[in-house]
Amino acid sequence: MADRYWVGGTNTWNTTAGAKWSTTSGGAGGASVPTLNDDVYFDQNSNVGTGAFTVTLSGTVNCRNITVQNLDGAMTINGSGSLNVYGNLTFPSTGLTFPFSGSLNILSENSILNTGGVTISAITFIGKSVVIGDPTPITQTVTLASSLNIVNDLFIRCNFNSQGYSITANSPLTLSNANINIDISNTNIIVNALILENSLTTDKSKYLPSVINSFNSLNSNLTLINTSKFALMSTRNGESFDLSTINPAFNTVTLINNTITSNTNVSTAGPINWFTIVSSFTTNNFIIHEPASERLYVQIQKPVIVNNEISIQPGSSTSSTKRVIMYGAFIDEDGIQKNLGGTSFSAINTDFYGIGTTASTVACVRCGDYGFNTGINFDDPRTLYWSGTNSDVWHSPKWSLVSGQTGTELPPLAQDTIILDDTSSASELILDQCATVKNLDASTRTLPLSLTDNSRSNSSYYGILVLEEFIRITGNLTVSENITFNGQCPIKFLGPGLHNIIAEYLPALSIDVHSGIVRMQNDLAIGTQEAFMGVNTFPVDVILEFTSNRSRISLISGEFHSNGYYLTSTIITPKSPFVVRLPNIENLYAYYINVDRKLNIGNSVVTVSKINNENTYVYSSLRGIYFHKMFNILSDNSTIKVSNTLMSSEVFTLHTFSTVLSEFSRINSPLNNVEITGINVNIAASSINNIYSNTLSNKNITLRGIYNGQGFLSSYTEPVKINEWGLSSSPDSLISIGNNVNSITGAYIEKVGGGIVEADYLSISNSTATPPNTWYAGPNSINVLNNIGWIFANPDNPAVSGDFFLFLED
Amino acid sequence: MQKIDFETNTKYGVFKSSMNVNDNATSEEIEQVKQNLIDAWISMIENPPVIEESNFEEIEVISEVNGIKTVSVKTPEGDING
Repeated sequence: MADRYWVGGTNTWNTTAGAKWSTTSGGAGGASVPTLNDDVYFDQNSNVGTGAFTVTLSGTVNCRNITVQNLDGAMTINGSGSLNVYGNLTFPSTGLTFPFSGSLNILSENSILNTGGVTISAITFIGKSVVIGDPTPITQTVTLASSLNIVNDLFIRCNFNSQGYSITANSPLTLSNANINIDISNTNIIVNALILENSLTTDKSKYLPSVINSFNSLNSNLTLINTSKFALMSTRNGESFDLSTINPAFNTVTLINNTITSNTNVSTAGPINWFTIVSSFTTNNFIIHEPASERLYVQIQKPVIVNNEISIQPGSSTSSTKRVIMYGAFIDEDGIQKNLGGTSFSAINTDFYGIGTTASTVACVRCGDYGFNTGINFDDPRTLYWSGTNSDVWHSPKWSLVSGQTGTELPPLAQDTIILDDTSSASELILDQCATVKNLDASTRTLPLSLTDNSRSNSSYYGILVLEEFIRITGNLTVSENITFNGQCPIKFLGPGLHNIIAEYLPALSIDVHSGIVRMQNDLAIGTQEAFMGVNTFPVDVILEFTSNRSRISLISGEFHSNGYYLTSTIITPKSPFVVRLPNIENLYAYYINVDRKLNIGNSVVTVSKINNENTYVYSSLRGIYFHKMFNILSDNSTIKVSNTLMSSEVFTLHTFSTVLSEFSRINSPLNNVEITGINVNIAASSINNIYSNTLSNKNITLRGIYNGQGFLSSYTEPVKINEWGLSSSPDSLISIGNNVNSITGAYIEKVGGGIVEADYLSISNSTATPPNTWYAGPNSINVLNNIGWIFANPDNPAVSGDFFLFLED
Repeated sequence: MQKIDFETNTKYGVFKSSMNVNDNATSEEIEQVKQNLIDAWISMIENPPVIEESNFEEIEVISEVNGIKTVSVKTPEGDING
């Protein structure tokens, strides 16, 4: 243990001793480089005269206490690498700048962190890292002796006491490690996000929430500032978890959106930002300031209890175009209204969806009602006619209460109906941002009118382009054939109740109606424009799928009724929780159906068609219908057609499971009718009531049960149960059963419901058929290899069999 | 070097810190240091550093439902459920 005084002036602090260090202040240089046991000092003798000097850190440098004091010249600590402090840190409030961009690691067992209010640029780790799962209690404690101002990430990984000093970070504050005690009571905390985790590994599967012994935020003010992926109390990859054991309670929680460009996780290219409240918390006051962005989305995923004031003030005047959209019952979440409580509730220029309040004083001005709200006063619904030109639709007060008159009304709210009739001279309306209306009625329009979203604001989420919706509709969409949608964003139906669609074409469709219903009232085509499409504008969970050269319907929640009409699309991506009902329609044409929850296909016929010249995925052979595991398929009397597999080199797969990280699980969702009309079809299902084919073409069909192992090439030892067998074949149309491509032992099939199977002209490989004496392949079928249980004969001539029978007679 | 605690109300709430100043600092100098720290703090809040967005090539997304994680890999060409 020794003292090391810097006497090197401008120089580099690294592992080279040189003449930079002395054992006394202003003494002779040449002392050894400080170790983790040595105290380091920078003072009036560290520089030449009173000149400015820069100490550049390089590599990993260590010290016990680090003290900067009594400077007589400006000092800069620069460089990168790691500064490991195994003791206390004391900085002066003047004369020192700390643009060091490496990592500042506070590692001692008990440290006092006294930055003197100096802004720290380094990523700052307070506390040691521990091995995941290590049950060793954290004994290290760091105590603040001044404010902590970090323009980078701040990680607290040990017991921590802020002593009431302000904590500010331009990035998330992450509490990590297990068994730590956090005391941030009486503290003003301004951070980008508050995150809990106990691992910094890049292996996301190891991002586990911290187990915090105690969390004292009494009388603290928490301000979440600017954008954040998961602003409050999530794990680093966004998974929410139960914080009831630590009961975060603040005096005031404030959301401030000062900028649209700064965030470690999210950067935005347009005026859209969001906050996500992932965890429950209690606060006396909940305040949202005016955002820098045009639209600030605040998503409240878990119950938030506000004791006193709720104030949302995105714009200072009623004509402000800035709006806050506050979601409570949100997609992917529980769909439950979040009642904030409070005693006073005020808002302006705010839209609500699934928000409630019990406040006795409620004052809301120009607020939009998306539905599922209680206790909030909204402006009376209006019917508005556009009287302007082709632009500034959502900002300009050019809406009229009377058709054909010059308008002075402010733009519509979510409870308003807009009517686009022939009195508007505009032939095109540029919808330069996403707005929400109750009904869009252009049913009487006889003049051509194009609705264009080509200046749609967008944002970027982890580099994925995210587009807002074309328009959100909380009621009905009724447009005549003279209306065209020129753009790529989805029209989104939102909120409870019945939503009718009368339109011939939409570029994309997004449905998030929870208990509501969206019902088609005529044939509807979904666009096929080539575009990167992010259906969901929010980073919760993920439907940030994007694709090119195809469009999609996003079924997020609620019900979608095709109502007997044709729906033509190429991608359907439902999300949770939802029910899709397609009762009695003729066809649902789909290129790709990805079902995450429940698919009720009623009596519908779902046709999966291979489209030629598609872009090639890595796993192109797996395209088809994917019924994900753990979800129910209510197939009723439906039929799934697998057809038009034009490219013989590709295989269509009908799966009733999905892959998960390292496991596969079973699904008990039977398929009703499966009609094979194309070639090269994989069927991997637990149960099929009736499988048949109607066309006479060469087919290659692999029947196999669900996975019972890991990996795509594992064995399929669970049979697909088939009730009725109707695959027709002929001498000119040989159906291949099983898998003769590789060595997979597959094609396990089981006849259920009694009776036998009669077939012929099959080419069978690697197929195990049960029960015995049931599966008659017919005399003209080919026993290629590795077949068990198949009888290659007719039922009335069982002596001719693929198996060898020896009859002995007396 | 002396340590002086202070706190002040701002539009971003209370800023509580300490300042470490020379023992012979005058009251005017102390007040100036205090104001400088407040100004720097507000500037830090209002002028956060801009972090450049990295070029997107591929991202792995893990979604979890009912305790089961599903991995999707997003590529410019499409997504892959793996």
